[in-house]
Amino acid sequence: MSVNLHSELGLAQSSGTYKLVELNDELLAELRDKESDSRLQFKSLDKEGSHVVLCSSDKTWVVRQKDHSNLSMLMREDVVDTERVLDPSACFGLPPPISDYTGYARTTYEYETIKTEGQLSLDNVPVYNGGPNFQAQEGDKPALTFEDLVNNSPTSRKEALDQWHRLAGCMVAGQACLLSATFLHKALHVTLMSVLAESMDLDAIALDGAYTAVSKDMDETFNPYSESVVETVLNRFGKVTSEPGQSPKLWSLNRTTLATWYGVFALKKYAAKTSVPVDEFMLQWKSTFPPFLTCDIDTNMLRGHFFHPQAEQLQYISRDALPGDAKERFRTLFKLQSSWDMQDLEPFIADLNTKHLKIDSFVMKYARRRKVGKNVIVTSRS
Amino acid sequence: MPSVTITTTQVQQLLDPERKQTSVLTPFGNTILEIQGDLEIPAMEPGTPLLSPEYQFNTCKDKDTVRFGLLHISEDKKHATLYIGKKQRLLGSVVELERPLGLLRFNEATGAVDLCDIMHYKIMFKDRPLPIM
Repeated sequence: MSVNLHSELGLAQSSGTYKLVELNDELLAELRDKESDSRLQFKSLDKEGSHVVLCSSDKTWVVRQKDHSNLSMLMREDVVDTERVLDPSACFGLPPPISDYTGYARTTYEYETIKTEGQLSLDNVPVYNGGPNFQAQEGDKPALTFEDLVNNSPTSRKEALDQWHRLAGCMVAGQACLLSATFLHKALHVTLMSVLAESMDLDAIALDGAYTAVSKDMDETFNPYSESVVETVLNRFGKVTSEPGQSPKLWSLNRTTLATWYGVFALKKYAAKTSVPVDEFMLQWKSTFPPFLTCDIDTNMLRGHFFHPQAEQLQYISRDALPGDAKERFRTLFKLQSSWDMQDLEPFIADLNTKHLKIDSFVMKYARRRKVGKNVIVTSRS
Repeated sequence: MPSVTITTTQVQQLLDPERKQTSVLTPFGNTILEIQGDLEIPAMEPGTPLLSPEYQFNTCKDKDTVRFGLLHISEDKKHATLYIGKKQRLLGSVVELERPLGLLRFNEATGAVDLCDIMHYKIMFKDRPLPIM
């Protein structure tokens, strides 16, 4: 098959009108999914210079320009206006051309799509601590809704919602805000006590029922535990188990998440300044639970929040207080505890492993590791 | 945050396995021709004295075009030969892409972005041109 090749005149080296984007399997699956109402969207932090992301309804990809030294000409089959018979010598002994392709754009790069985790931009989101005088926004600034946040963040909607629930995002007075840890703890405690007092099933809680139970003994003038706050608690510590569209919507509370939350609270309360024996801490941990709440507890649930200054003793440590530099972080951790079980150490250093190496390989760059039975023990190099 | 929704209506029909591209051209008639280096094509308007008689100016859909070569695809649709003018010949192949490429059309006036085609193949010329004796 022979084809005449034409090009439009004056094509720029890289025309801005047409661009090529790599379609990975996930993107193709997204396009194929006729059931979903998903739409693909390009988002960028500003009009120039910043990264562009491609978002579907539940995934996010960073878009990177992959330059190459070749010339890619985009061509389409066309019929030129004036058909010209080629001189036989210009056919080089090949059969005469049967059609015409016309180049309409040139490009020297393709867009590569790299899967990433969508991130909510929380810069302008205030923290609500349950006070009666919550100021939504200073001056005449309009209140920020969750939809505004999604639209202004390099993330897909589902990832944004998951993150919003994880961070205890809440709507207060029409303003998107985050509940402070102290207020969230109070709200959780009040909600649990109220639903347990009403003998509700923790695996099938309806928002209406939970809110009514919480409101029963509240002051009529100001109740900080609004329906929205109770919903935030249910989303933070549980998940929706009812089918979409089913009424009422039901939540199931995750006992491990609850136990871990109370465990960290107990660590901060009883083991922040001095270490406490593990046995004693377990009792203190249990004592923080609301009456009649039964959850299994194990110190493994609190990995990443404590260290052992001595055998059978533990003490709280905040990850936020650790140095950001990898070398310094390891040095500090070994100062606190000379040898670590790899599983205990991992949560303290996982954020430093930006190249996503295997954790064993990453640790070997800064520390010594050895196998003792089934466990891996990490010690300082010096 | 500036954002734009990508229209994908046109390519939906291409995702049906029966309509998948099986030859050089997509069902919408597009293809990619990739050449190592650059391709020099005159930018002058027809009517001005031509640089060389080997160029044939023409028009297509109200746009001025110029013929720059002859492409031959073998019957098995694996090998390609490109003749540029009367003096250069390139040997290449029809390559199936590891990951398909989506063709995005950006409308600068309206800001709309349209995913208008999906390419599974390209015609690739990796080597330097050979002279035609």
